[in-house]
Formats: sequence, C-alpha cells, structure tokens
Amino acid sequence: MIKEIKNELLNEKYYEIEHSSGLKVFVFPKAEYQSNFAIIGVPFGSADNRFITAQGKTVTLPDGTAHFLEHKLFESEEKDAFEKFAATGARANAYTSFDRTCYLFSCAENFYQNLTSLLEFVSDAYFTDKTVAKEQGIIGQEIKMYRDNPEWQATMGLLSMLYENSGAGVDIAGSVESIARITPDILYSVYENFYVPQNMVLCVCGNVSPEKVIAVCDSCMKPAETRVANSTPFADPQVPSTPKKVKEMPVSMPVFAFGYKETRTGLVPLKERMETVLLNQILIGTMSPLYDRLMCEGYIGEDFSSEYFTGRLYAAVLFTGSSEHAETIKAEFEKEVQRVRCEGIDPQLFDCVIKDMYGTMIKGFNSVEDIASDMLDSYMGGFHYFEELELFKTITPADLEKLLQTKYNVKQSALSLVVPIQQKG
Amino acid sequence: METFIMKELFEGANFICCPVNRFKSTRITVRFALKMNPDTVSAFAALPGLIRYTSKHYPETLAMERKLASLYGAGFSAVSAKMGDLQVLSFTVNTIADKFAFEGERISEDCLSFLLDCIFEPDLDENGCFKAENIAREKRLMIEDIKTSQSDKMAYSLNRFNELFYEGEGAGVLSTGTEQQVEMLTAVQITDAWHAMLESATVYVCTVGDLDTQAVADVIRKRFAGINRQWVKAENNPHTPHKQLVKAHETQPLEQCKLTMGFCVGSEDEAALRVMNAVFGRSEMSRLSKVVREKMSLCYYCSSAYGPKKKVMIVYSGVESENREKTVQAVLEQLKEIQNGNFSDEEMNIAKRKMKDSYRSSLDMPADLAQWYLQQMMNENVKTVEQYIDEAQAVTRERIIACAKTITPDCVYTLGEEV
Repeated sequence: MIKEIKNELLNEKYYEIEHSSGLKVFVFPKAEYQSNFAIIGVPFGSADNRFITAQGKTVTLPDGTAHFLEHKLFESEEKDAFEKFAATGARANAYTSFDRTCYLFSCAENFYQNLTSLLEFVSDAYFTDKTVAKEQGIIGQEIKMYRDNPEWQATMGLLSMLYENSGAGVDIAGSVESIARITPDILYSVYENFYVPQNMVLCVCGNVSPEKVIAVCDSCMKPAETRVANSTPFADPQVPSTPKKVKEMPVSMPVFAFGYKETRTGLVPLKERMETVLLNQILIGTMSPLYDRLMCEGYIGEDFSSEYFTGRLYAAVLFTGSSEHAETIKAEFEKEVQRVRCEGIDPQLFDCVIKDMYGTMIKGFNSVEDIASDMLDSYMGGFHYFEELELFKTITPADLEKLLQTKYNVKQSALSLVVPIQQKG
Repeated sequence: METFIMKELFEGANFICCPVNRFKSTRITVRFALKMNPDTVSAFAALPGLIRYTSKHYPETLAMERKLASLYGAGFSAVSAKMGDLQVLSFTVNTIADKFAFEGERISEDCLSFLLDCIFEPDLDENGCFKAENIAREKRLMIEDIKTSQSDKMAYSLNRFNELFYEGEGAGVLSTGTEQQVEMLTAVQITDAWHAMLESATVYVCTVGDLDTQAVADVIRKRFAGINRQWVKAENNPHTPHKQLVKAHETQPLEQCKLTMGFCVGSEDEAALRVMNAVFGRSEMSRLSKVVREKMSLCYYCSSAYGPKKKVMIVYSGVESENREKTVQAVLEQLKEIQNGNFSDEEMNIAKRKMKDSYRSSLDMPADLAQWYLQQMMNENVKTVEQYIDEAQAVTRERIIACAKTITPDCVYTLGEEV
C-alpha cells in the first residue's frame, strides 16, 4: 500500500509504504539532486538491556550489546559491508543510540545496488567466536577514545545519576569488561528477536522513485514469522539517589552537564517535544535575558547548549558546557524557571523563538541526509514527518506557560562535573 | 552541470555566485585572507567574535540575537581559521529563501545588509576603537576556547604537531595565539587589525541560492568604496623539510595515545596526489584503514590527508601506547608498498569512484557548495566538480607511483602514556 503525503508550502511530497514483508518504508524524491541517502533503523538501542521473548523467556544483556551487534552486522561471511559499499563509491555508516540502531549510506551513483546491499546486510547475521573476539579489541579501543573525551564523560556522569539501573545511564559502547561477556549466542538472540521487517523502518531521500525502492525491498525483504520481543529495561528510581558527581581528568577547563529527568512512560507527544525546545530557548537560549546576563558576567561560554533528551525509554532536559561556575548556572536557571512561572512569557521573545524554530525547520529540508534521518526520527517518535510544520502554528504562550508548571523538577535533577586533576601533596 | 558566475569586484576581491534554486535557503559568505603572523594572530582572531555579537546598529548582544531570530532564525557565523600559512576570517549568514517568509519580506536583502553592517560598522567607542567591555568578553571567550582545545586531546595533539612540523612557518602558529597573547591584546591592536582586514586582505565573496547576483555585487562594491584599499597578496609557501626526521613524545595520562605523522611531498601532480592519498589513507578502503587498522588491529582510527598548498601529507591515528612504534612502522611500510607499485587496479578504481561520488554529493548542500567555490577562488584556478572528477579519472598507476616516490617522512609526534 502506497500513500502520498504532500506539503504545499514546501512544494514537496513523500510516500509512505507498507511493504509486504512488514517493513515500513518512506521515500522522499528529490529529482533536482544528485545525492541520495538511505537509512534503516531498528528500535533497539543501548538502553534496551533486558527483554522478554514472545515465548516468555527473560534475557538480560551485557552493557554495550546493541552497539556490538551494530558493529558485527555490517559483515557477512564473505565481505564486510564498508568494502561492498565503498567498491561502488558509496559511503556507509552505522550508529547506535540509547533507543535505536541505524544503518545508512549515501551515494550519487549506483543507488539501487547499494540499497540492495544495505537490506541484505541487515537481513542476514553472521557471528562466530573468532569474529566476536576480534571486534572486542576494536570496540575496546573505541571505548578508550571516549574515556578521554571530557564532554562525553560529563554527559555520561549525568545520565548515570538520572538512570541508575536502566541502560540509559550506561555508555552506549558498554565497558571493556561488559563486552568481554558478549558471545555469538547473545548477538543472535537480539538479532532474531528484534531485527525483523515488521520492527524496522527504511527511509530514503534523493533522486529516487518509490516503485524502484519497492522492487528492491521485494527482492530482499521477506516476512518473518518471529514475533518481536518486549523490551523491559530495569526500572530507575524517580529521584536520583546521587545528585552530584565529580570526575578528575586532564582538562584545562571544567566541563559540566546538568539535567532534569521526567517521569513518564512511552513517547513524549510531538507538541510537548516542540514546546520543551521552545521553553529551553525562552529560559536560557541565546535570545533570553538569563543567557545574556550569564554571558556578560562570564559564567557561560559559547559551548553552552541545551537538549531535550527523549526516546522510547527516557525523557530529560540536559544542559552542557564548560565553566568554572556550573553550580551557579544551575541555580540561576532554576530561579529563572520560577520567575517565568510567576511572571509569564515575554510575548516578544515568544515571537522570536517561534520564527527561529520555523526557519530551522525549513532549512532542514535542504539535505537528503537530514530529510531521511528526520523521517526515521518522526516514525520512531510516533508522528508524521510534515506534522511539525503544521503544529508549530498552533503553539501559544499559554501552552508553554502551562507546560512550564510541571517541567524542570529540581528534585529529579543532577549535576555532573569533569574537573582538572588535583595536584597531590 | 553546475553553473556559477564569477566576477572580480575590484583588485584583490572576487565573487562567485551559485544561482541554484533547489535549496530552501540562501547563503552569503564574505571571507578575508591575510598572511598568518605570530605577532598579530590574536588581534585578527578577536575580530570574528567582536563582529558577531555587537554592532553599531545592535550594540546589545540580546538585540542582535533577536534580530537574527526575526530574520527567520538566520544563522550568523564568524570564524577565524588557519589555512596553511594564511589566517582566514569568514563571515556567513544563511536563512530561508524569500518565498517562505510569512509576509513576503525580502529576507535575503535584509540579511546581506545586516552582514555588511556588522563587518563595516562594528560597535566602536568615541575614539574609534572597539569597546573595552566587548573586548573583555571576547578575551574571556578566546581564553576559554584555548583551554577547551587543550582538553580536547585530538585538537591539542594536532596543535603541538603543527608547532613542531611547521616550525618557523605561518602554518605552525596557533590559530588564536597563546593565552598570554590574548591576555595582552589592546583595543588599538584589535582596531588596527580590523582596518587591516578591510584595507589589505584578499576578499572572497560567495553566495548560494536564489539571489540577485548583480545587486549583491553592487552593494558590496559600494561598501568597499569608502575603504582605502591597499591590497597585500597573501600566499602559502611549501613546507620546508627538516634536516632530519623530527620525533617527539609528550606524556599525558590518556587512555589512548594520539599519533600524528607529517610527510613532505615533492610532486606537482596534484590530481595524482589526490588519488594516491585516497588509496593510501583517505577512506575506509584505503591501506591505512584496511591493513594498519583492521588487519594488524593496531589502532582505532588511522587516516591521511593531503595538503596541496603546503605540499604535505599528514597521518592521524589513535593507538594503544605500546603499539605506537609498531604503528609508525606499519604506516611507513604501506607508503613503501605504494611507492613500489604494490597496489591493485581495483584499489585505484575504488579510490577514484569514491572521490567522484563524494565530489558529486557535495553539490547538494549549500554549505559544501559554498565551501567548494571559496576554496577554488583561493586556489586562483577555479574548477568545477566535474573538472576535478575528470582529472582524477585520467590518473594512471604510473603517475600514482611517481608522486608517491616524492613523499618522505619529516615529523612524528605522539601524545599519551610513557611506555
């Protein structure tokens, strides 16, 4: 079944396809472009650390399993995927986040040949003791590289406090010790329970036709009889038991991350996602009076940023940057939340952030990579791709003021610091 | 075929316009290139921040940020970068195309005026100097930036490598100078740098999107008409090889050792060098990735880059401390293999295909397209993507071997634990 979805403002359309294998497919043609991009995703990420199979068996996974599987899946008995894509000139990649794993490529030529390779690689798994052992060495190096990255260490310090038990508090790649416990059997159990067409989504953008994409899917994707397992990560306490962590590293400038966890089950609705981004802008974005004051007084630098960290299994507002005054920034932010809760939102500032958001959305339709990735994000986020463009017009200051009453709960917050190594003695 | 229009605005100033309408946005970049000088680097590096956050028309940063938001979230970037021996200051505004404005506003015209106002009419005091409070803030941000790049071990190791490899050359100067240099900056030095930028730098302008080319050229010429231009052409010089191989190790408590190797390149055959670099270390199919990283399992990443202006090749790698010497030998061994012609036609053809695909794909992003033509203007020999592709296709294995034979190791720098 093919459905055409149009947007008159953009003068663009995309196709939503229910493939006979169960695979969900989105195709966004860009006839005037030379580049093409395809991404296939599975809603299984590093936070999915335990699941119950359709037969009722509970499986608990070593940290880093989703990421390990991602590394190994782009490999068949004969060849590794990067080699096969590169031979045509394409650039392939894969990534694991907390709630999904994605495989992708971009190319200007040989698109359908590469799409065939992409679907073949994710449709077939090949793991042996030897290849798993080799990958443990490569991923061990990757883990070490991230351990030297102060920004990542500050963020992971924060997430480990907000999410004490679920996988969202553990490094996506796991640890050298945890990946040592991964075996071919563990990888097969995840692959067989989650990597089935009805649990996957393919998004394509470029100089492509939906009919040809479907033809490739017809030849590569067959319906699977397996029922998808139910991910049941370990539960976290509502209030973090540790509100502050400090780590020493060879840095010249302290790095911080603080955040406010939200208690919820399931996906955050699109409108709330957008409203939270707008609220972050109004409270401490570059156009806000607080940001201006903190910048003038020397408390924050240009690397200060906010993020609504949201997925299937988690939702939190995070702030990161480098500063010697992280605790002051957090306290001032919380005071600002109180002030705006009482005084309401400045209408002029509201107009600014709305126009800013609109411009950012429009610019997002320039790149084939952004379009395909955003289509995937929309699907996994439970909304339609063009919905944001429609919805932003309906958001009012009153909506934001209402949401603000329940956001940024100080009791559910934590602060993580990475500081220079103290000289002993 | 991609179309572009090139004009000389005035002596030392060129303009390329890419009038494509497939993008939802427009983009305007004004770039100034000057010779990198260790004595003035910090003063020039302070300009982008001072111009980015305040101007005569928007003396408050908050007002400037809100103006950008009213231009539909226009992005305004102002950066100082080192490109070989040059210090390059780039100012870019990008926003949505006029047709997406709520009420039919001419956003692109407003953006161009805004950008030129910021560059030509900064927020100066009664003595015609940048204001003390703005300078104090910029110094703080620059120092924080220097500290952050010391914490980022990849950036730090590259800076230290550059100092060693390019000793005495513009390319060896830290791109914002040292913390002490920034601390010592005066309002007069910075203001002099601003005048020098407008008066003596080579100017490059590039626009992408649905814009009136003639109108853009006219507006820019008009702004420069009030400037007493005394153009000083700034050029790159090839790297001067050291008398003997320079080797240095710096100890820091790191999980992973950073290895950087610098090579001198003697050949003038640029197309062959680009293909040779692709076979050697540019992609995941290259020798460094397939042999040194995967087959020998020596490192997490290992890649190479070719610098045509400085006539150099640089290899970057992240390795276990105990493997660093083995990795150096493995990299040299792979270079030797290519010099001896021990690579297949298939490796060469894959390299060419990847280059072709990557060049073509770069046409579909406004920032990449602008970057392509800005770089071409700086090369003084503007070529299209198709010309680059044709040149690469014509490269033979003999030419690859010949240019590889002119590549010699010159500097090895490692950062990490003591072994």
